Amino acid sequence: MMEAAFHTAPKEPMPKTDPRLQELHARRTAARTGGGPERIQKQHDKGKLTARERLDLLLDPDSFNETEPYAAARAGGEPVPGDGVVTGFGQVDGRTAFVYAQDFTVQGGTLGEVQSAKICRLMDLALQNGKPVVGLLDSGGARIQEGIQSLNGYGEIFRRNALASGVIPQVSVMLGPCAGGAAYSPALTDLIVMVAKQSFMFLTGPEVIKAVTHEAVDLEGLGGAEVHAAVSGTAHLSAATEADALALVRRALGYLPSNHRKQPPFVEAGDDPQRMDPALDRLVPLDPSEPYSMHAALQAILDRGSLLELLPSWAKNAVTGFARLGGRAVGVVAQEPATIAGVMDIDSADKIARFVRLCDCFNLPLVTFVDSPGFLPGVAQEHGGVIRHGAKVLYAYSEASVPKISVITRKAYGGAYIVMSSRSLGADLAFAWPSAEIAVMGAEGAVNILQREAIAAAPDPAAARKALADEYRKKYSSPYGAAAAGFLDDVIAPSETRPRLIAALAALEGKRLPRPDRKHGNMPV
Amino acid sequence: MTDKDNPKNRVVANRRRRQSNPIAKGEIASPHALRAGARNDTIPTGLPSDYKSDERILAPIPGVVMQVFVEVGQRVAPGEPLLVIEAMKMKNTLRSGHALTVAGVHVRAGETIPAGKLLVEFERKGRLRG
Repeated sequence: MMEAAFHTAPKEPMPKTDPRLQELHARRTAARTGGGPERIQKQHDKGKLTARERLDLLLDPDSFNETEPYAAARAGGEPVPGDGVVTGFGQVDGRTAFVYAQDFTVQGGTLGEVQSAKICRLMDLALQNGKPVVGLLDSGGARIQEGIQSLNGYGEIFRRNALASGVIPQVSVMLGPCAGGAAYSPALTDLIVMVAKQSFMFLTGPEVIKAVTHEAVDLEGLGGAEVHAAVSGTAHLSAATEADALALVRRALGYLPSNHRKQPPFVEAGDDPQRMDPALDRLVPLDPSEPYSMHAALQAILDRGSLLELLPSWAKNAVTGFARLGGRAVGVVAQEPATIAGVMDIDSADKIARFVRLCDCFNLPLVTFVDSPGFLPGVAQEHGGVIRHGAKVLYAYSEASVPKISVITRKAYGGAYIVMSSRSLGADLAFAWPSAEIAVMGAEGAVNILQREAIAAAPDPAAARKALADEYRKKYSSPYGAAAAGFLDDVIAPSETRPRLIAALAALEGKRLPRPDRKHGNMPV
Repeated sequence: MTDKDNPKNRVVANRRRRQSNPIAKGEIASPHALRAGARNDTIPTGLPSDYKSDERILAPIPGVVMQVFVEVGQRVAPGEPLLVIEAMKMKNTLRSGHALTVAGVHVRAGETIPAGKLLVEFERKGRLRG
């Protein structure tokens, strides 16, 4: 029986005798069938779920309330159930979210005037009522028959994405193709989730590229999940299956408030806030040229298992992710010294800046772990605009009015010291480990400049350089110097970091920072 | 077609019951395990981008090759170190993200290399590189 295929069985009983309820039941069943059992089977044969099956996985059981299931294309001709999109609201872990899922079984999920109207109305409702929007995208793109209506339909959605940005969380889950202008909607949202070998995003497809630039590339290599997760830096999260992708969405939403006026949800993680891991004290090697794993430090400091990294495969020299400290949701930014020494570069600057602004939108305190020798030198970086991109990080941290705490674990040289949530950018509390080196530049580089003659004149220049560098390190880059000068709030043992951060977050909870009145700033992009 | 590639099995996997209330449970499968085609999930490879790292390793930044651990024909396991580059005054260990066979080593210890320099090539699956 058809009904068994859909989760949203009618809640109220449908007596078979009343003809009015019979008609309702019939129409409702027809609407829920989408493109029909054959097309549903085709979708399954491709290893993909239908729109309603996806909503079933995304939302809490029996919480989905559909809106506008009978909306029909105005163009006439064959009926187009729901115009290829299922819209409505439901609960994610007990909190309302507005959702839409494009139905590939109906006209290939192509977007027409009515589909756009349904989505826009949904977004308007979400915006007015301060609830997140989750879009499950699986569409062939614009409905060519509807021509400019379709284009206009996309534009209406993009405008709403932009106006809702920073007001309510917006998540896009790519579950199929997303070509051409359709890719702009997810690009405007806060989180993009893709599925391996199944989602594709690009502005122009392989055929047009081949014709125009003669480059040969397949769908996967052009805009598949791996490309966007690891190369273009567009997919914040990626998963092996649809079920995993939707589980990721549920998990990510758990760190975010429903709208910008609310605080993120507090979730007791059952992890002792006073936990002090002695392994942390041995983590940073004494040899400054030996790297360590910042990920290992984060695992030991944050609530166990709470780190959800965004863009984990892109710009891996920087780490950005949601996490919890003592149950409180925070945004974590860090360098990973095990990846190209944790340098700052164009991509990591972009990654950090966008994440910092996302956290500031939704009241997530920022906890920043600093270990960077500075910006990556080189013509490629300079010609690539590292000045513009690095400036984004400065802008983002300066603008952020959420509580900001920084922990300098080792190197914080020059520009990297300043941009990474320093006190001068408004960090509320700045801590450093005893291994911290805070200076304009590294000790070797500094003595090479300051004591050039002394080193050249010495009988063993290499040994002299090393001795002078050690002296410089003790005198100028030691964290106690920075603390004495008033730029650090405390030097802490690595194993103390967790309890100190949790206490700090509790103290900074009520932070309110007035901002000058202006339309908006001119952030370098 | 193996079980894993059968699209019908993917539908079954896709229909798997959603993670029941991940928030209440606290612990959840690591996001690394959920990443797309992420053959190098939790293995820190020291590379900025792992795209196509099953075919070749390029120098992520300019530096000096300090040590080369592999030679042509050697099989490497995921996570196994391939070489160490000294850059930004630090030892950067580049590791394999996958189980592969080395087909070419293009640098030696002591060599100064620019960013993007081809360091190591791997045998493509199913056929030797010509």
